[in-house]
Amino acid sequence: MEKFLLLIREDLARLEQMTEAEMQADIEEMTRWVEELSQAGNYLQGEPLMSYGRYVTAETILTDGPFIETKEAISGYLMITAGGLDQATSIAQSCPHIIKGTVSIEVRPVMQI
Amino acid sequence: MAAPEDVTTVVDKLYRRHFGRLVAAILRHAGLDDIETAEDLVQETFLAACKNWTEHVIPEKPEAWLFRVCRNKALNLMRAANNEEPQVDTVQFAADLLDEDAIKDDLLKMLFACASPVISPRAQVIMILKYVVNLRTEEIAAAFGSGQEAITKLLQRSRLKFQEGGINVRLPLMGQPQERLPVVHKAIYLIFNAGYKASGDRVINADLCLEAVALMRALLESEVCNHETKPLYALLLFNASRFEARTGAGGELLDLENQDRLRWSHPMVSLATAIFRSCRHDEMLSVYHIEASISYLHCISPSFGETDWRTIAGLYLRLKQYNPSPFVELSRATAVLFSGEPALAMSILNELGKQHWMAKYYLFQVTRGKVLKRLGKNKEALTCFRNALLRISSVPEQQYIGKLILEAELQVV
Repeated sequence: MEKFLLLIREDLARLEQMTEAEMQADIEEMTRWVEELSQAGNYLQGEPLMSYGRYVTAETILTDGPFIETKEAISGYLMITAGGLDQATSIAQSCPHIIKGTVSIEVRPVMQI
Repeated sequence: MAAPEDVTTVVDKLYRRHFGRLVAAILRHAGLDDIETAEDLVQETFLAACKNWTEHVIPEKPEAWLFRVCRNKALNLMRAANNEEPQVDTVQFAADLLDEDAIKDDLLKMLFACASPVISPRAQVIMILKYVVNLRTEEIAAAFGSGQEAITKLLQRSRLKFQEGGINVRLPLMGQPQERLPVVHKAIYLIFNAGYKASGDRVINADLCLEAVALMRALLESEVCNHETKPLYALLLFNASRFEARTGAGGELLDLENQDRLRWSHPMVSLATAIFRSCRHDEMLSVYHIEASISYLHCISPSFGETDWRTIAGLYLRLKQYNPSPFVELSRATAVLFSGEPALAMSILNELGKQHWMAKYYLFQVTRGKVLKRLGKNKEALTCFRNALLRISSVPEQQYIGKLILEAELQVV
């Protein structure tokens, strides 16, 4: 089994407009998915991220960063194990929010050192 | 003319028994690599049966009719593709379809093919339900409480993956890589769990559990097994024995504490116990050994209170080494609570609750409520149960939590 980082990207502006009930339903779906991954032995850890932050380069520090403006900002991450990049991809495809089409996921193998 | 409802019954039965293996047989004999084409052909055959039998009569040997029509359709397809007479041993093709050993062999081949490591565990489960258990797409959707469209999409993607990688349903069974066995085990385990969950259609869910048990039996009989096979079979049987007792007279969900232990299936427990005892001292242990041990301790206990919770809590700790998951830790907290150490249970939960999403998980809130109640903090417990209720949309689970709230409210008053 190899380790993969799944970077979840979505439109943060849309997230901020969600009602409390929609948010709750979203979390319930994701939790069920994580539970499923965990039963299958693929889940390592994961967390959602706040929608604000700072963006640091050599020259500047940008408050809020460019996150909000992009349609595809990182909104959370997951560390999983999978049999290979193919399976990791297939696992990402099983995310309920991918099925709904509200997020995109970047699947990155962790370098083995 | 045959009555349409009779035709439907016969066709449904044949579908449940033969759909996946007809697909496998066509792939094998007709030298096809593409599941979708094979599946379309089998689907057409079933439609033809419906039409023909409703217009005329149900043949005396409906299976033979089905196989013949399916074989002819496959031959036509090959003729059209090659413009020449196909080299297929049609006698062998037909004989294979009726031979009981060949049926089992086909089933296992398809099982190993579906448990492909290039697709996700969930996709494996759905492929197995479609091509080995022979459920229709709408039944699979009902079992998972999800939309048909999502299941269809997932099946399409998986078939495509198989095509790219060259599906191996045509390999002889013994040539199947032994290293795929853990994947097969996990997939069967997940099928059982999907059936065991309270959400989804009850009848189909019970079916999933029984099918998972049947697949395990088929594996054991085939001798394609390893040290995980027996304990997993025992585990599924132990859990299946409680299936009926989980719902009360009014259809409400009953937790372990409130189940009538006389309603557990004792023949199943005996069988599971015999299998479990024959493998519990294995040199090589697996996660299924540990889970089966936990289930065993529940099944042999005369009552909830007399359960060996301390040992169960220890087993969860060992399980954590195999699968360091927050959900295992949550179960451990419950066992620790009932072993008489609510304060320790609370500290486990406090640690778990640091994970943002875990704190919002309804079962976390339920467990926390139970611990608080045991600590005499009824008001706080009530808050937890109410939080849990907000976070769940499945009706049986909502009713279950509703009951906990009512009990807690009576304590507070």
